[in-house]
Amino acid sequence: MSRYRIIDEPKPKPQDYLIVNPIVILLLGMILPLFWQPPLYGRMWGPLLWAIVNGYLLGSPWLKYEILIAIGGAALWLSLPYAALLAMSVFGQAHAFESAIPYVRIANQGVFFLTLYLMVLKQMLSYEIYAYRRENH
Amino acid sequence: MHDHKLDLAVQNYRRGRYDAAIEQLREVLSEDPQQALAHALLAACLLAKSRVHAALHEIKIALQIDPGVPYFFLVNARIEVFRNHIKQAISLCHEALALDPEFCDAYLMLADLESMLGNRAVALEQLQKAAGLEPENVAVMVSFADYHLRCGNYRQAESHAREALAAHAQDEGANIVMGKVKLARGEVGEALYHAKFAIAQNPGSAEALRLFCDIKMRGNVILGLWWRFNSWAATLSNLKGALVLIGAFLFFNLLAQILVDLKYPALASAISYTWLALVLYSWVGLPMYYRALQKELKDFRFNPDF
Repeated sequence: MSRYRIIDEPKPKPQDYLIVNPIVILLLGMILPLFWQPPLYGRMWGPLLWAIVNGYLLGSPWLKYEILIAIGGAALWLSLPYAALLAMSVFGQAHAFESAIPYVRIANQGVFFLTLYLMVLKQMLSYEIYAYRRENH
Repeated sequence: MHDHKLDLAVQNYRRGRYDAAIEQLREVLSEDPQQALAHALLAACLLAKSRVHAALHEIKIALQIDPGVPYFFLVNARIEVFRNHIKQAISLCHEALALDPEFCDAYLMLADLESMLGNRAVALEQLQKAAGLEPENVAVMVSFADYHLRCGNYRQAESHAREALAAHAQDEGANIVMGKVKLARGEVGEALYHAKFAIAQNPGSAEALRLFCDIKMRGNVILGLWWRFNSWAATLSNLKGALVLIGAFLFFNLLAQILVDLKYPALASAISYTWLALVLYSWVGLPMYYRALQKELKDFRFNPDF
């Protein structure tokens, strides 16, 4: 009598090797611009795009939500300096906008990091499941 | 004859001896390939060995043979969790409950899944349903303790864990959750006692080994602070966690900018470097933690004492 055969696990797909811990995207997004400024505002859209691709490769069940966060964050990031200028004009402080630029820049970075944090935190559960499977396989 | 082998396989599965259980189940299925329970148990064992694809194949066969067993849906739900299909897993739990509305394990799993999704109120509702059905069930008490632990309610978590230990002092889950509670409250000695006790019950328990490693991490000179911050952050919801981190970023950077404006550039640089050091520490902390965890697990598994 032949022994009952258990089917083999499929080999990992090549694109699986591109999956990274979402925290790495976050931290690179924070640290890399200190040493190198990618062209065309790459420091902003690069990590967001990378996080979306990572979520897709992970099969994240919240991918649509992550994309919406990225779009919302990018829109806020783009509009914040204009909103700040408009607000200062309304209060008759438009002339002081130049001195407020460093603060607006920090706030803008805050918006970018918040966007990336939210995306990364959403992806963590998917990554942990993936990492557990990979380590135990 | 194969009933005896099936019983042995169930015992081995419960004790975490998955390889032995798999071999026995293969023998059962060689004799009778239409044995649905053997297919489902084989799926559960394969899942425990992280063979998700084979587990899915087996549970599909089990459900084809007998689609009326709620337990099969629960095993299928567990497999879907490993495939990252949380919503499908939830709907499978509901299918199990449609077949048997008093299936306590399905409520517990639903609570766990909803908690994973951050729906804490729904999770609590499911736990209450499970408690209404089986108030004396240790697994229900452990799940309650785990739920409160995740929410950061250590006092309530400890009370449920104590209740679980009073009901069954040797229960692996009860010891693990009590260990986690003790660790969260900083009572390392007691946490270690419960971790060792849980490992003695099931040396293959990943949860128990992880708790044991966490205890060591907490006492680690380099990683201790990182571990404590992460443990605290884990009790927050995603949005709150993100806001805390953004708050820290804004605090350091705005402070540095204000100091520049006030003509204290040296102090501003110090603040900026402190922030950079914190970011690097959190960056280095994660891989260091996982490396230390791997090392501990390897050392522990090869330790002749176990």
